[in-house]
Amino acid sequence: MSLQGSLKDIAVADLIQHHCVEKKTVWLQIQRAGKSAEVFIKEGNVVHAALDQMQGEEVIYEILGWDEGTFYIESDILPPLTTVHRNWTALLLEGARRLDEQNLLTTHEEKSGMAKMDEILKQMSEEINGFVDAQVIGMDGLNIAQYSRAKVNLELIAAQLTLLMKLLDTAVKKSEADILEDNLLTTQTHYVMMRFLPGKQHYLAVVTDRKSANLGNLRLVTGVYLERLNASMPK
Amino acid sequence: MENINQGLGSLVDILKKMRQEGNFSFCVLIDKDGFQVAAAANDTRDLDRKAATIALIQRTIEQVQRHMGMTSPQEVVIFDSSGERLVCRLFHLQHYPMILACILPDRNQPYRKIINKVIREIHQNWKL
Amino acid sequence: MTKLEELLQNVRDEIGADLVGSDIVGVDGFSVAGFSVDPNLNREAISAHFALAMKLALTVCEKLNLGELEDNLVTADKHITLCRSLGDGSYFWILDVKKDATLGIVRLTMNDYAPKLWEAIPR
Repeated sequence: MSLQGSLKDIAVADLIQHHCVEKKTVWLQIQRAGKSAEVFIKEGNVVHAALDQMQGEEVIYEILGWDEGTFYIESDILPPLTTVHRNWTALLLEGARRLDEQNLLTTHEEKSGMAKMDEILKQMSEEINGFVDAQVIGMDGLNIAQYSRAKVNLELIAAQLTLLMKLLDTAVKKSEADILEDNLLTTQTHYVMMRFLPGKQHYLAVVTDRKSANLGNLRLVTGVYLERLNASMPK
Repeated sequence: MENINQGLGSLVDILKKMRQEGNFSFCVLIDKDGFQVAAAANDTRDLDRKAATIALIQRTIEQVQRHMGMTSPQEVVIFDSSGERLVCRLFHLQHYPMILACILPDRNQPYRKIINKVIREIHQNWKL
Repeated sequence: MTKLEELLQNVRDEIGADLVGSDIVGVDGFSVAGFSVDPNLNREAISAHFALAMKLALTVCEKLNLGELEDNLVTADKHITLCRSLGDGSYFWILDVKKDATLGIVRLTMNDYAPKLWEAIPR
């Protein structure tokens, strides 16, 4: 008997658990992004696993994190080797623990990158005359870093300015395939400077009070800090 | 939204000191587009206009360099009939082209030593 | 030459070779006067897009309590576009200059000519 499907519909852990609980003997092949792993389950125990040059438990821990790809199962195929000795529940528990650890690390790295950007914005605020508020905003309209000296609705600012940046980007593209670099809004009471970070996935938005700000200062300081912010972007 | 904060304060202080020591009526640091980076002036009216006009000098200098083969012109002085002078010194702050401009009311007033000193201080105080 | 065209010519003389194009556009996106140094450029279509962006900018300024919009300066890799609303905001003035134009002067020129252009627009 054979069966195939997508890892979007059923997780690797569930595939292993089901066949172990049912005490089956199966050969499980899992493919993702050009890589192919195989897991042999004999009478409800994981006995052998292989992925490229790797064999044994580490293969199980690796493939437990695959949430995209396809699987193929064939019944009653015996393993050529025994490379896994831990029982299946311990394997899956250890796999889950490692996945949690990995997720925490990624979140921590992202969070400390963002905290650093907040700090950079704070330093930048001290160099800008009339500073009110600064954010690093994604083109999805969500901010990833902010510093403000006033009580403002940062989310609303981020969302509204992003709409404007997108429309300006379109307008600029229509004129001889130009590429938008930055935008400066001048109102009676404020300046709003918006400058793309390299890659154009994010931009720096700075709001200043118009009376006490001056444009040379604003452009100079935002230009300098753009490079620093880019260097601190979470990868 | 209301909040006021002094930034790049050391540049403003340097220019204020320069204006006092040199008895200049007007000192301004301008970027290549004619926007003020910092200023110290008796009369703050139309500072934006003055800054923008002074930046035109940058364009003239580029043309002089190009057509006359002069290497990196550094200073332009404009006299008026009363002897008042506009002195513009061009320099780079890191890779940012800048103009330091001042107005000297007295035709006999020395200025080079003070301007050189101020530019040195600007470089030394550049924290960014 | 209409008064409007005369004023735009004056602007052209003041800004000089840095000026690439100019357009006066209604909020409906239709141009009432303008020119471009590049005859192949679809000036009117481009200005209509910028007019749309200005309308959004007006809304954004209102929603964020930023005060009344005066102008918008868009820096692209080849050109710089300055957009300004005229009079009661029913028209926009879109000005395109070369990248190395002295922006301070261009902005001030726009400030000086904006009220005159508003007066000259046939209404």
